[in-house]
Amino acid sequence: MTEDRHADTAQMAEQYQHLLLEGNRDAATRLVMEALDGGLSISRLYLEVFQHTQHRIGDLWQANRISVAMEHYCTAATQLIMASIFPRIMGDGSANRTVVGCCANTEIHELGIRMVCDFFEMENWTTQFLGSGMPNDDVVSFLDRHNADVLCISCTTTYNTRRVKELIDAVRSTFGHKAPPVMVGGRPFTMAPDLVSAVGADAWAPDALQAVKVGKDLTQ
Amino acid sequence: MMQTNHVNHFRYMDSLAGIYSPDSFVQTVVWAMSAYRAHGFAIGYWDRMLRHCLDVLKENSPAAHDGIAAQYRWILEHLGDLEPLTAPESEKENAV
Repeated sequence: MTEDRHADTAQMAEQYQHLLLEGNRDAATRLVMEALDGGLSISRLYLEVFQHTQHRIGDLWQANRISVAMEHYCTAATQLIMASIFPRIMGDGSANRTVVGCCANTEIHELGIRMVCDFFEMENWTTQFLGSGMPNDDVVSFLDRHNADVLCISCTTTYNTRRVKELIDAVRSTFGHKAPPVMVGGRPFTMAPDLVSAVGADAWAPDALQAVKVGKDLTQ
Repeated sequence: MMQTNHVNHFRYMDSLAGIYSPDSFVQTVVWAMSAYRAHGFAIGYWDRMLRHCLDVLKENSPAAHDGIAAQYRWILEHLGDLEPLTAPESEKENAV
Protein backbone atom coordinates (compact mmCIF):
# COMPACT_ATOMS: atom_id res chain seq x y z
CA MET A 1 0.00 0.00 0.00
CA THR A 2 2.91 2.33 0.60
CA GLU A 3 3.47 2.51 -3.14
CA ASP A 4 0.17 4.34 -3.51
CA ARG A 5 1.84 7.38 -2.03
CA HIS A 6 4.13 7.39 -5.05
CA ALA A 7 1.53 6.61 -7.69
CA ASP A 8 2.52 9.71 -9.58
CA THR A 9 6.00 8.67 -10.59
CA ALA A 10 5.50 10.71 -13.77
CA GLN A 11 5.67 13.84 -11.65
CA MET A 12 8.74 12.52 -9.86
CA ALA A 13 10.38 11.76 -13.20
CA GLU A 14 9.75 15.34 -14.34
CA GLN A 15 11.28 16.63 -11.13
CA TYR A 16 14.24 14.27 -11.39
CA GLN A 17 14.92 15.31 -14.98
CA HIS A 18 14.60 18.98 -14.05
CA LEU A 19 17.12 18.65 -11.22
CA LEU A 20 19.62 16.83 -13.43
CA LEU A 21 19.30 19.40 -16.19
CA GLU A 22 19.97 22.08 -13.58
CA GLY A 23 23.17 20.22 -12.75
CA ASN A 24 21.85 19.49 -9.27
CA ARG A 25 22.85 15.87 -8.82
CA ASP A 26 22.75 16.07 -5.03
CA ALA A 27 19.12 17.21 -4.97
CA ALA A 28 18.23 14.51 -7.52
CA THR A 29 19.88 11.95 -5.26
CA ARG A 30 17.92 13.21 -2.23
CA LEU A 31 14.70 13.03 -4.26
CA VAL A 32 15.37 9.37 -5.02
CA MET A 33 16.44 8.41 -1.52
CA GLU A 34 13.42 10.08 0.07
CA ALA A 35 11.09 8.32 -2.38
CA LEU A 36 12.68 4.95 -1.62
CA ASP A 37 12.50 5.56 2.11
CA GLY A 38 8.83 6.47 1.58
CA GLY A 39 8.09 3.12 0.00
CA LEU A 40 8.67 3.50 -3.73
CA SER A 41 9.83 0.18 -5.15
CA ILE A 42 13.17 0.06 -6.90
CA SER A 43 11.63 -1.57 -9.96
CA ARG A 44 9.24 1.36 -10.39
CA LEU A 45 12.06 3.80 -9.73
CA TYR A 46 14.12 2.20 -12.48
CA LEU A 47 11.37 1.88 -15.09
CA GLU A 48 9.20 4.91 -14.41
CA VAL A 49 11.84 7.42 -13.34
CA PHE A 50 15.31 6.41 -14.55
CA GLN A 51 14.34 4.77 -17.85
CA HIS A 52 11.78 7.44 -18.64
CA THR A 53 14.30 10.17 -17.90
CA GLN A 54 17.00 8.54 -20.02
CA HIS A 55 14.64 8.39 -22.99
CA ARG A 56 13.70 12.04 -22.51
CA ILE A 57 17.36 13.05 -22.21
CA GLY A 58 18.08 11.24 -25.48
CA ASP A 59 15.18 13.03 -27.15
CA LEU A 60 16.45 16.38 -25.89
CA TRP A 61 19.91 15.71 -27.36
CA GLN A 62 18.37 14.67 -30.66
CA ALA A 63 16.36 17.90 -30.75
CA ASN A 64 19.54 19.90 -29.98
CA ARG A 65 18.08 21.19 -26.72
CA ILE A 66 20.92 19.81 -24.59
CA SER A 67 24.59 19.10 -25.29
CA VAL A 68 26.43 15.79 -25.30
CA ALA A 69 28.09 16.95 -22.07
CA MET A 70 24.73 17.41 -20.37
CA GLU A 71 23.50 14.07 -21.69
CA HIS A 72 26.56 12.36 -20.23
CA TYR A 73 26.22 14.26 -16.94
CA CYS A 74 22.64 13.05 -16.52
CA THR A 75 23.58 9.47 -17.36
CA ALA A 76 26.56 9.51 -15.01
CA ALA A 77 24.42 10.93 -12.20
CA THR A 78 21.85 8.17 -12.64
CA GLN A 79 24.58 5.52 -12.74
CA LEU A 80 26.01 6.91 -9.52
CA ILE A 81 22.62 6.77 -7.81
CA MET A 82 22.03 3.23 -9.06
CA ALA A 83 25.39 2.18 -7.65
CA SER A 84 24.60 3.78 -4.31
CA ILE A 85 21.31 1.89 -3.95
CA PHE A 86 22.74 -1.45 -5.11
CA PRO A 87 23.11 -2.72 -1.50
CA ARG A 88 19.31 -2.47 -1.21
CA ILE A 89 18.77 -4.86 -4.11
CA MET A 90 21.59 -7.36 -3.61
CA GLY A 91 20.18 -10.85 -3.84
CA ASP A 92 21.36 -14.08 -2.22
CA GLY A 93 21.83 -16.10 -5.38
CA SER A 94 19.09 -18.48 -4.31
CA ALA A 95 17.66 -18.68 -7.83
CA ASN A 96 20.73 -20.78 -8.66
CA ARG A 97 21.00 -19.16 -12.05
CA THR A 98 23.65 -16.87 -13.47
CA VAL A 99 23.18 -14.09 -16.00
CA VAL A 100 26.00 -12.31 -17.79
CA GLY A 101 25.17 -8.86 -19.17
CA CYS A 102 27.26 -6.79 -21.54
CA CYS A 103 27.28 -4.52 -24.57
CA ALA A 104 28.80 -5.45 -27.92
CA ASN A 105 32.39 -4.36 -28.36
CA THR A 106 31.83 -0.93 -29.90
CA GLU A 107 28.75 -0.02 -27.88
CA ILE A 108 29.33 2.60 -25.20
CA HIS A 109 25.84 2.90 -23.70
CA GLU A 110 25.67 0.58 -20.71
CA LEU A 111 22.95 1.97 -18.45
CA GLY A 112 20.26 -0.27 -19.98
CA ILE A 113 22.16 -3.51 -19.43
CA ARG A 114 23.04 -2.36 -15.92
CA MET A 115 19.32 -2.03 -15.22
CA VAL A 116 18.69 -5.48 -16.67
CA CYS A 117 21.34 -7.04 -14.43
CA ASP A 118 19.93 -5.25 -11.39
CA PHE A 119 16.45 -6.65 -12.11
CA PHE A 120 17.92 -10.15 -12.27
CA GLU A 121 19.74 -9.41 -9.01
CA MET A 122 16.41 -8.51 -7.40
CA GLU A 123 15.17 -11.97 -8.42
CA ASN A 124 18.14 -13.58 -6.65
CA TRP A 125 20.05 -14.51 -9.77
CA THR A 126 23.83 -14.31 -9.67
CA THR A 127 24.57 -11.36 -11.94
CA GLN A 128 27.78 -10.64 -13.81
CA PHE A 129 27.62 -7.15 -15.27
CA LEU A 130 30.46 -6.59 -17.73
CA GLY A 131 29.41 -3.21 -19.11
CA SER A 132 30.22 -1.56 -22.40
CA GLY A 133 32.73 -2.18 -25.15
CA MET A 134 33.36 -5.87 -24.46
CA PRO A 135 35.76 -7.69 -26.82
CA ASN A 136 34.20 -10.90 -28.13
CA ASP A 137 37.05 -13.15 -26.96
CA ASP A 138 36.84 -11.75 -23.44
CA VAL A 139 33.11 -12.39 -23.23
CA VAL A 140 33.65 -15.96 -24.41
CA SER A 141 36.38 -16.53 -21.81
CA PHE A 142 34.22 -15.04 -19.09
CA LEU A 143 31.28 -17.24 -20.02
CA ASP A 144 33.56 -20.26 -19.93
CA ARG A 145 34.68 -19.48 -16.38
CA HIS A 146 31.33 -18.44 -14.93
CA ASN A 147 28.94 -21.04 -16.33
CA ALA A 148 26.30 -18.54 -17.41
CA ASP A 149 22.70 -19.67 -17.81
CA VAL A 150 21.77 -16.64 -19.93
CA LEU A 151 23.79 -14.07 -21.85
CA CYS A 152 22.15 -10.65 -22.25
CA ILE A 153 23.55 -8.29 -24.87
CA SER A 154 22.50 -4.65 -25.06
CA CYS A 155 22.73 -2.45 -28.13
CA THR A 156 21.68 1.20 -28.22
CA THR A 157 23.07 2.43 -31.52
CA THR A 158 21.91 0.81 -34.74
CA TYR A 159 25.40 0.73 -36.23
CA ASN A 160 26.42 -1.78 -33.55
CA THR A 161 23.89 -4.48 -34.47
CA ARG A 162 26.46 -6.24 -36.63
CA ARG A 163 28.80 -6.35 -33.62
CA VAL A 164 26.01 -8.06 -31.64
CA LYS A 165 25.76 -10.73 -34.32
CA GLU A 166 29.53 -11.23 -34.29
CA LEU A 167 29.49 -11.70 -30.51
CA ILE A 168 26.65 -14.23 -30.71
CA ASP A 169 28.46 -16.06 -33.52
CA ALA A 170 31.63 -16.19 -31.39
CA VAL A 171 29.71 -17.63 -28.43
CA ARG A 172 27.94 -20.22 -30.55
CA SER A 173 31.07 -21.30 -32.42
CA THR A 174 32.95 -21.73 -29.13
CA PHE A 175 30.35 -23.54 -27.06
CA GLY A 176 28.21 -25.19 -29.73
CA HIS A 177 25.06 -26.77 -28.26
CA LYS A 178 26.32 -25.89 -24.76
CA ALA A 179 26.15 -22.16 -25.48
CA PRO A 180 23.89 -20.26 -23.09
CA PRO A 181 20.73 -18.83 -24.59
CA VAL A 182 21.19 -15.25 -25.74
CA MET A 183 18.77 -12.41 -25.11
CA VAL A 184 19.18 -9.03 -26.77
CA GLY A 185 17.68 -5.65 -26.05
CA GLY A 186 17.97 -1.98 -26.89
CA ARG A 187 16.55 0.59 -29.24
CA PRO A 188 17.43 -1.10 -32.58
CA PHE A 189 15.50 -4.23 -31.56
CA THR A 190 12.56 -2.22 -30.26
CA MET A 191 12.41 -0.31 -33.54
CA ALA A 192 12.71 -3.39 -35.73
CA PRO A 193 12.03 -6.73 -33.98
CA ASP A 194 13.10 -8.66 -37.10
CA LEU A 195 16.67 -7.79 -36.11
CA VAL A 196 16.42 -10.23 -33.19
CA SER A 197 16.51 -13.28 -35.43
CA ALA A 198 18.84 -11.53 -37.87
CA VAL A 199 21.56 -11.30 -35.21
CA GLY A 200 20.91 -14.89 -34.15
CA ALA A 201 19.51 -14.21 -30.68
CA ASP A 202 17.14 -16.60 -28.93
CA ALA A 203 14.96 -13.87 -27.48
CA TRP A 204 14.61 -10.17 -26.79
CA ALA A 205 13.03 -8.03 -24.14
CA PRO A 206 11.76 -4.45 -24.35
CA ASP A 207 12.81 -3.56 -20.80
CA ALA A 208 14.47 -4.89 -17.67
CA LEU A 209 11.27 -6.22 -16.11
CA GLN A 210 10.43 -8.25 -19.21
CA ALA A 211 14.05 -9.39 -19.47
CA VAL A 212 13.76 -11.28 -16.19
CA LYS A 213 10.55 -12.99 -17.33
CA VAL A 214 12.19 -13.97 -20.61
CA GLY A 215 15.29 -15.13 -18.73
CA LYS A 216 13.17 -17.45 -16.58
CA ASP A 217 11.46 -18.85 -19.67
CA LEU A 218 14.79 -19.47 -21.36
CA THR A 219 16.13 -21.45 -18.42
CA GLN A 220 13.10 -23.60 -17.62
CA MET B 1 29.84 16.88 -35.53
CA MET B 2 30.11 16.38 -39.29
CA GLN B 3 33.19 14.22 -38.77
CA THR B 4 31.33 12.16 -36.17
CA ASN B 5 28.42 11.85 -38.55
CA HIS B 6 30.66 10.55 -41.29
CA VAL B 7 32.27 7.99 -39.00
CA ASN B 8 28.94 6.79 -37.63
CA HIS B 9 27.42 6.83 -41.09
CA PHE B 10 29.98 4.40 -42.47
CA ARG B 11 29.88 2.26 -39.34
CA TYR B 12 26.15 2.00 -39.94
CA MET B 13 26.56 1.13 -43.61
CA ASP B 14 29.06 -1.55 -42.58
CA SER B 15 26.54 -2.94 -40.12
CA LEU B 16 23.83 -2.77 -42.76
CA ALA B 17 25.98 -4.83 -45.12
CA GLY B 18 25.97 -7.64 -42.54
CA ILE B 19 22.40 -7.33 -41.26
CA TYR B 20 19.69 -5.79 -43.38
CA SER B 21 16.27 -4.98 -42.03
CA PRO B 22 14.16 -2.61 -44.15
CA ASP B 23 12.26 -1.44 -41.06
CA SER B 24 15.43 -0.67 -39.18
CA PHE B 25 16.98 1.04 -42.20
CA VAL B 26 14.08 3.45 -42.74
CA GLN B 27 13.70 4.24 -39.05
CA THR B 28 17.43 4.78 -38.63
CA VAL B 29 17.55 7.15 -41.61
CA VAL B 30 14.65 9.16 -40.18
CA TRP B 31 16.18 9.22 -36.70
CA ALA B 32 19.66 10.22 -37.84
CA MET B 33 18.41 12.82 -40.30
CA SER B 34 16.15 14.34 -37.62
CA ALA B 35 19.03 14.51 -35.15
CA TYR B 36 21.48 16.11 -37.54
CA ARG B 37 18.96 18.57 -38.98
CA ALA B 38 18.14 19.68 -35.43
CA HIS B 39 21.86 20.39 -35.09
CA GLY B 40 21.91 22.61 -38.16
CA PHE B 41 22.51 20.28 -41.09
CA ALA B 42 20.56 21.24 -44.23
CA ILE B 43 18.64 18.59 -46.17
CA GLY B 44 20.89 19.37 -49.14
CA TYR B 45 23.84 17.96 -47.18
CA TRP B 46 22.68 14.37 -47.80
CA ASP B 47 21.96 15.08 -51.44
CA ARG B 48 25.58 16.12 -51.97
CA MET B 49 27.23 13.73 -49.54
CA LEU B 50 25.50 10.56 -50.75
CA ARG B 51 26.05 11.36 -54.43
CA HIS B 52 29.71 12.11 -53.70
CA CYS B 53 30.08 8.84 -51.77
CA LEU B 54 28.59 6.89 -54.67
CA ASP B 55 31.06 8.51 -57.07
CA VAL B 56 34.05 7.87 -54.82
CA LEU B 57 33.07 4.26 -54.14
CA LYS B 58 32.35 3.54 -57.78
CA GLU B 59 35.83 4.70 -58.68
CA ASN B 60 37.73 3.15 -55.77
CA SER B 61 35.70 0.21 -54.53
CA PRO B 62 33.16 -1.08 -57.04
CA ALA B 63 32.18 -3.98 -54.75
CA ALA B 64 31.35 -1.61 -51.88
CA HIS B 65 29.51 0.63 -54.32
CA ASP B 66 27.36 -2.22 -55.53
CA GLY B 67 26.68 -3.24 -51.95
CA ILE B 68 25.21 0.03 -50.78
CA ALA B 69 24.09 1.82 -53.96
CA ALA B 70 20.48 0.64 -53.60
CA GLN B 71 20.18 2.07 -50.09
CA TYR B 72 21.80 5.37 -51.04
CA ARG B 73 19.56 5.70 -54.09
CA TRP B 74 16.50 5.04 -51.93
CA ILE B 75 17.47 7.89 -49.62
CA LEU B 76 18.21 10.20 -52.56
CA GLU B 77 14.91 9.37 -54.24
CA HIS B 78 12.99 10.00 -51.01
CA LEU B 79 14.68 13.18 -49.81
CA GLY B 80 11.52 15.09 -50.71
CA ASP B 81 9.48 12.83 -48.42
CA LEU B 82 12.11 12.83 -45.71
CA GLU B 83 12.41 16.61 -45.62
CA PRO B 84 9.12 17.37 -43.80
CA LEU B 85 9.34 14.13 -41.81
CA THR B 86 12.70 15.05 -40.32
CA ALA B 87 12.25 18.81 -39.99
CA PRO B 88 13.41 20.35 -36.69
CA GLU B 89 10.65 21.48 -34.32
CA SER B 90 11.48 25.14 -35.00
CA GLU B 91 10.88 24.68 -38.74
CA LYS B 92 7.65 22.78 -38.12
CA GLU B 93 6.40 25.60 -35.89
CA ASN B 94 7.25 28.20 -38.54
CA ALA B 95 5.41 26.19 -41.17
CA VAL B 96 2.15 26.27 -39.19
